Amino acid sequence: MQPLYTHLTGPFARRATTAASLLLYLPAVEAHAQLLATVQLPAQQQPTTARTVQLKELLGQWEKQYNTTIVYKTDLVRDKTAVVQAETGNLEEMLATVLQQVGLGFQKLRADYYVVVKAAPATASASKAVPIAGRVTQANGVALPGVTVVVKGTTNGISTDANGNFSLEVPEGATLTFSFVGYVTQEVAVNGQTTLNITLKEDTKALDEVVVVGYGTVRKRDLTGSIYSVKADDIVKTPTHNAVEALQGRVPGADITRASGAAGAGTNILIRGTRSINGANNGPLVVIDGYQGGNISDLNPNDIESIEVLKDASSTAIYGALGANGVLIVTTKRGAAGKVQVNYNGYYGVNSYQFPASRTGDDYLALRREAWRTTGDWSSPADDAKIFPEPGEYDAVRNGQWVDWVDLVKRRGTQQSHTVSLRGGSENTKVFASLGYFREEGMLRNNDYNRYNARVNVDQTISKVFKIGLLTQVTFYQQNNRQNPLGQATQLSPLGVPYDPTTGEVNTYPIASDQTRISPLADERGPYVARDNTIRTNIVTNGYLEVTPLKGLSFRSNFGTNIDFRRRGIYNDRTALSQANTRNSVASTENIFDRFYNWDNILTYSRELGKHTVTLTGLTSFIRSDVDNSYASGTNQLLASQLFYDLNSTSTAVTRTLRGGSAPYVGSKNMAYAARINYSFAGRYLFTVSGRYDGASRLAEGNKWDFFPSVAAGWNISDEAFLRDTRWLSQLKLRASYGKAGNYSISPYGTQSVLLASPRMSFGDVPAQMYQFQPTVGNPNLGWETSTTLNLGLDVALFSNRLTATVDVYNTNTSDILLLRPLPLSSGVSQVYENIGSTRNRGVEVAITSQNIVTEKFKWSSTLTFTRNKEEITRLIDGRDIIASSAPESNSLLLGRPINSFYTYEKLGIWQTSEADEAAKYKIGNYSFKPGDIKLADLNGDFTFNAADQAYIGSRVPKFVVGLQNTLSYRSFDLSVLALARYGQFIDAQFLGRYNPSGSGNGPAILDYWTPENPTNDFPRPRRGTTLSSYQGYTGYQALNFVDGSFFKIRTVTLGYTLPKSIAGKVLLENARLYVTGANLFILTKSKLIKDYDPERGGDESSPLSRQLVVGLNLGF
Amino acid sequence: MKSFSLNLLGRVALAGTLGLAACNDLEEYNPSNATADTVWSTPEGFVTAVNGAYSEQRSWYGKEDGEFMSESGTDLWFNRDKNTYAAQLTQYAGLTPLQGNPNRAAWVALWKSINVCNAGINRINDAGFINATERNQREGELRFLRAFYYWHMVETYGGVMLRTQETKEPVLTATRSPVSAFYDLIIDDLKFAATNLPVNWGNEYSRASRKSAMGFLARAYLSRAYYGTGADAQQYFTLARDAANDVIAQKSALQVDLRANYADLWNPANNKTLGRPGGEALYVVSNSTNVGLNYDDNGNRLFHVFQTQYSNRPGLEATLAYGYENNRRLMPTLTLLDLYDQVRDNRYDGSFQEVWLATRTYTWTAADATTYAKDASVVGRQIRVGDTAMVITKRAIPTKRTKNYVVYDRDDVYLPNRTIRNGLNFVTLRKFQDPDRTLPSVQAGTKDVIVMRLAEMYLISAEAENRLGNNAAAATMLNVLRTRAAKKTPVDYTAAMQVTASQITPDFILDERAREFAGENIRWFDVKRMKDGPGFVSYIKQRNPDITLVQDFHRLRPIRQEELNALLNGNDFGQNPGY
Repeated sequence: MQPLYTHLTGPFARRATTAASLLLYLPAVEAHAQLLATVQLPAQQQPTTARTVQLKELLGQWEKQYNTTIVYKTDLVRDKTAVVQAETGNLEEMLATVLQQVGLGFQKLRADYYVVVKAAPATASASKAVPIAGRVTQANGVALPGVTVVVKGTTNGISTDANGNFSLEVPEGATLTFSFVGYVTQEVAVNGQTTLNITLKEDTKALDEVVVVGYGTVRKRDLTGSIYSVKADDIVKTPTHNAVEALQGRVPGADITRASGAAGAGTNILIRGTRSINGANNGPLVVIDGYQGGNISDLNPNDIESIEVLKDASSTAIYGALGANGVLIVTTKRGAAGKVQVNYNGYYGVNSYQFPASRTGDDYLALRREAWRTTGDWSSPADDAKIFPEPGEYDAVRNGQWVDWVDLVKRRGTQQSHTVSLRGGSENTKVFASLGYFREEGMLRNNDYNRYNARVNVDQTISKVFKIGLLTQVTFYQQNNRQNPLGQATQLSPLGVPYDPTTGEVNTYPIASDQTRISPLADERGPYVARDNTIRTNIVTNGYLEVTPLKGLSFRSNFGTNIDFRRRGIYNDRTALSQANTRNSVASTENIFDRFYNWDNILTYSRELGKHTVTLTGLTSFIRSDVDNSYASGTNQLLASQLFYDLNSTSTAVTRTLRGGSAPYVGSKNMAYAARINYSFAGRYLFTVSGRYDGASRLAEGNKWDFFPSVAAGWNISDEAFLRDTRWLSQLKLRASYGKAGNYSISPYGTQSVLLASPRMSFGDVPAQMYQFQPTVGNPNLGWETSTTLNLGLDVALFSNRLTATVDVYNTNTSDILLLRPLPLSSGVSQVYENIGSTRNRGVEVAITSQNIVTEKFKWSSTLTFTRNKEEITRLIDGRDIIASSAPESNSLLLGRPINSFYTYEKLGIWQTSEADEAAKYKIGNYSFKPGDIKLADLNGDFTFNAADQAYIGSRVPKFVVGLQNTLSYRSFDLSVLALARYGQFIDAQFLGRYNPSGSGNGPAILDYWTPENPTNDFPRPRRGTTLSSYQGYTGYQALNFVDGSFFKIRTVTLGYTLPKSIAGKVLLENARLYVTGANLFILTKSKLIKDYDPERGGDESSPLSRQLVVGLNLGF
Repeated sequence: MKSFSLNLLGRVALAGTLGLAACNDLEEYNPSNATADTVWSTPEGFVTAVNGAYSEQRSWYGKEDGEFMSESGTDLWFNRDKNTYAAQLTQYAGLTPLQGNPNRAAWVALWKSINVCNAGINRINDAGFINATERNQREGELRFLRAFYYWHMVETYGGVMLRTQETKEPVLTATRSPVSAFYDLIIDDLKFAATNLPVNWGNEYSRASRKSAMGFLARAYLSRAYYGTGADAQQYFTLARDAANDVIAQKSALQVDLRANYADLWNPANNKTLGRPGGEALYVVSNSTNVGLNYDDNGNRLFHVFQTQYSNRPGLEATLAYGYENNRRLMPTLTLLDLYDQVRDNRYDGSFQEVWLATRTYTWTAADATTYAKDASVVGRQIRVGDTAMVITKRAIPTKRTKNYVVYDRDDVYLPNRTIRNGLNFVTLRKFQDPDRTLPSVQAGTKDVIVMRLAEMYLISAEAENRLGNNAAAATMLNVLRTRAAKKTPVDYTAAMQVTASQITPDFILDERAREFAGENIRWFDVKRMKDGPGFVSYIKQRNPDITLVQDFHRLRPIRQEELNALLNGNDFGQNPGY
């Protein structure tokens, strides 16, 4: 048997090496099991007088016999049997003996009046141990090895051996729990028996689990589309304010990254890559409780029951235009009939930035000297005075006044979240309510986020026909942002005195004699220096009416509203960082009032005719969005303490402006009619056909409407006769779907040429109103962008669902892409929306879940998700690359490449001293390259560098994303580890561009620069008076920022401890769990240049991601 | 029960359908409706287009970018240390279609403005003007501005595309037009403007007025003449002379005149009077003292550009009067400083600052004496407020070691081969100083920028006369300016400053332009106009030996690569030669 290990590969190997149950097949273990068997006690002889009766019968018999009253709750005695040793005697003694067997006791309320109650726990420990043995089999009589047999309420237990046998000692009156993966857990009262033969039923629950789909639900086994479901337990595993972040690494096909490390920052989610080129609408549609227009980041993650991720065209087609980039269906928790459950979930955590340290001290001095040495202005420390010409600089150097600005601007951030929820109701009224509070203090001072949530979900059954419900949520948040000081902190020279030594206050000018060099800490001098405060109230009120007049027929009308009010006030005092140049204060207030309405009417009819099951769905959907925006600003506020509140006190008349493309009013409407047929034959053959006729106001007249059909089929192969008896195969299902979805990823009024007003005009001191053209020119011919997706899927479950896998492959072709196309700048405008270009996204997604070890004490399961998406632009107007007019390095569109690609020179290294002759052959204008200059790839071999030498160098799109979740539990401890790898993507690491070759500022310390003595290939030679963009030898400096951003990281590690029931119960707790989570604890990057940075952020230097340590508590009452 | 429910269901469904039928109207609702068709359809609304057309000139005039584009890269200026982003223009280092921000930004700003001008000019008949004079004044402003922008365009980039229509839909191809076609349009526009613009706009003095159009017409004729040969050139030189002389002849009608004293032009207190009636300016770009009305909160930043460092010297600290020293973009070449006869010509003292007076008391220490290469005898000597604290001069001062103030003389600033020694200290052009800021560290200024002043008419007239062979007439014109420039006290040098016909050469006129206009956003255009091909290179290299990379094709700037990328026929259109 030994070689078994070496023959097995893949999931079987995992099973063989990890699953304890399988180990029982091995001879050595078998021997051990037999050893156990030999020590079992012989079965005790039963006294002949004993008989086994139904407890209920017995109690009734005794009531008559003793002319007394014995009351009991029906559930307490139902189905319970007792062994009666004596037929007559002292009633109270006999009651005690019999009730004890089944874990019960009694109380005597008065003479001849007894109440049966649950036994006090103490009685169990007092009872003596009795041996019991037996055998566990499947329904077909085959033995089940490895079944966990435990005395209920204890950890005392054992596994069945290879023949399904078990034996152990149990307290009298104990109940045994039999559990095994893929089978329904059974509890059996011992009741004095010594032999128990148990048959475990297969658990088909996993397949009967209901999955939420667009405008309805289906059983998981009947699913034809590609839908991945994440449940509440997993959502709260990552402590975060945003549930999307909790999906990271858990959903195949979804590429999720946190947008920034700032307090309250959101997440980016892409389902199966980028389809539309215009970035606005690449995110998935979010449907919360059947309503559109909600924002998932406003939801308390603890309120979420499940999130379904709809990926293929057949699942999303019912949402038509809106579903083109996938759909997230979020279902919040609902009330349940029965006992009221109260839960508390809370955590507290600390965060700290990961950001490269900056140059200071001798390291900085060396750079500065080197820069002046290159131009012949420094030869020895005697020249130091000359190289620090700015006021006060040289004095600071001599006094050793070195400052690590990056270190000074950072602080430790904190996060905390508290949620209390309540769940209860009766048969007819079900209520779920919750209150939540989330607070994050950012890793920069004056950056925080406070959110308050309240949710009430009520479902009311009025009669058998009518049901209504109301789902409401109020979210209020307050966010303080700030001008990011990291940019200033990485550019300033590391000299001066940051704090006044006597008062401890921030020195606005760290070098007092230089009143132009402002401290990055300038905004932290007081409450009235810099303020950027947003308050927001979001009210979601969704109501529904459901009418079910006939069996199988239902009509549901959903009316959803989302009302949102935001106020953003900004005040920057004349002494603030952002006003360093102008030294005048600026105050502004922006009010945004957002209304969103969504009215859906859904008619559903289901009918079963023999083996045929048909569900018809028809619906209409209307969406309307209105946004009002007003903005006012003024300069030179009279009193700083007025902040942005009284703009009348600004020195000039308040000016009103339409800022940054936002307009005073933006409105849009959508209307859709859709229908779907689901047909199933014997649960084996499944078909879904849907169609949606969709209209969008923002598209051009005549192009507003389009039709989006889809078809899908599923085949539950494992239900076929030829596989039905294959025991190891629990499920095998093949799915295929094909469909078309639309998208209108343009802003409203994209078909119109709009003007921009500005108050920034005057003649002399006479103000003059002016309008100029927006950079985007209108296109009156815009129409729908369409995506067709072919999806093939396979669902497999093996070994009684112990190993499950889902594999999907797909191909999405998107055409008529709505693209913001750069126009020749000579036309005076810069871009236009057009339907041009096509993309293709092809990919494979795999999710494998394995229950590695399942015993009562120790459980270990793993989920592996793998996402590979190959994205490429297949067609562009005019059949050639589109090189962007602004930031062409990262905004250009390249045929055959992903949308988010980098286009620039390819840096080969640095010209070395030995290559001087070769370097001199390359020229820019009259300039010949020298050692220490950047060495670029000369693509066209003309020995000079221009547009012809720029090319694709990499993309933000990863080659693949892998997530591995391991969840372990041992007794009361649980441990889960989520590891994440994103491989093959490039990032634009901004801090690398902070290399300061003139030495006028610090820059990151890890950057290694060339000198004649240090022949590195990383960064070019320092040179006095230059910036990267100003010296010919730095041509191609743009390429310095772009590095391979591949990383592996331990995203979260959570260790939890659940208080044993015996202790928790004493303080009226249903459950109590304490946990510790570490996030982003360990990161391995492929490129050494970003080793001190978390590349998940994508390279931005503002608000980098953090390491996080969280302590949390879950309580249930 | 069942029938009741069905009935109800039917009604609900019907109500739903009826309710939704109204929703099928997917018209876009845009009440703010700021489209060109709506906003510019009334006379009051139309003015917002005219105002918009003025906007982008402020990204050139009053900014470092404009100085880099129109003054640097010539014989007059160099930047040694703080070149940062502009070395492509100041030193011709790596001037490529992909690099060189001021150049790339200018391309966008000019075309954006031209599009607004085209839109206004083509739409004015739909704006419902009833008063023809008002209509023609607005059209005059737009046509002045289009000519103004196109002159900058064609002189900077050469014969590129000539667009006269508003961009209403994507325009994806372009063809080059000859330079003469640009000038035909520019001259036509300016003639219309000169005829229709008012003499005076009152408090809105910085709008284009008749003198602006007439003056610019003279400049356009002169520039145009150099693209022609023989009779064609002669024709335009004649037109240039006549146009310039016309402005001079009508100066009182146009409410413009030379200021009596050259230095007064650059007294910050007089700045806001220059553009108003009676001032010397023909056209100004104004900045408001209300900073919120200015282009980008920064207003006029020219006072940064030429300022040397002074604040960390003994006896000195940063003051409003002495300006903002951190940028130090351009320093004068020895050639420029030596062009002036400081004894006779008041334009040197009027233009440059050589002496800084102490603003704080200071006593010399041994360490500072070493740093500033002083004789040990100065240790312990005091500088009192108001004493001389620093001198930076084009002269040589042999006794500088024993002076109790800091001295950087000719040899400290320049090497014997006329290149710059280290660029740390230099004579400062003081024309743009702005002491009316709130703090010395404030970088935003509110002074007006003089785009063109009456003196230029005399130089245009003289240059045209020279080319037409009338050097006597040219001398007469120059002598008007030289008479003003002559120091009158203690010795009157008016006679000594006069030039005669025999002295008039093109290079003398170039020199005279330098003396008159140094720093005034014109030098590069002057040099490129008068120096062709190898002459351009040798003129710059010889007079500004720090510029080593200039080549003959640099007479045109490169077209932004993005433009060629976006054009469907970018390859056919082609980059300017040499790039």
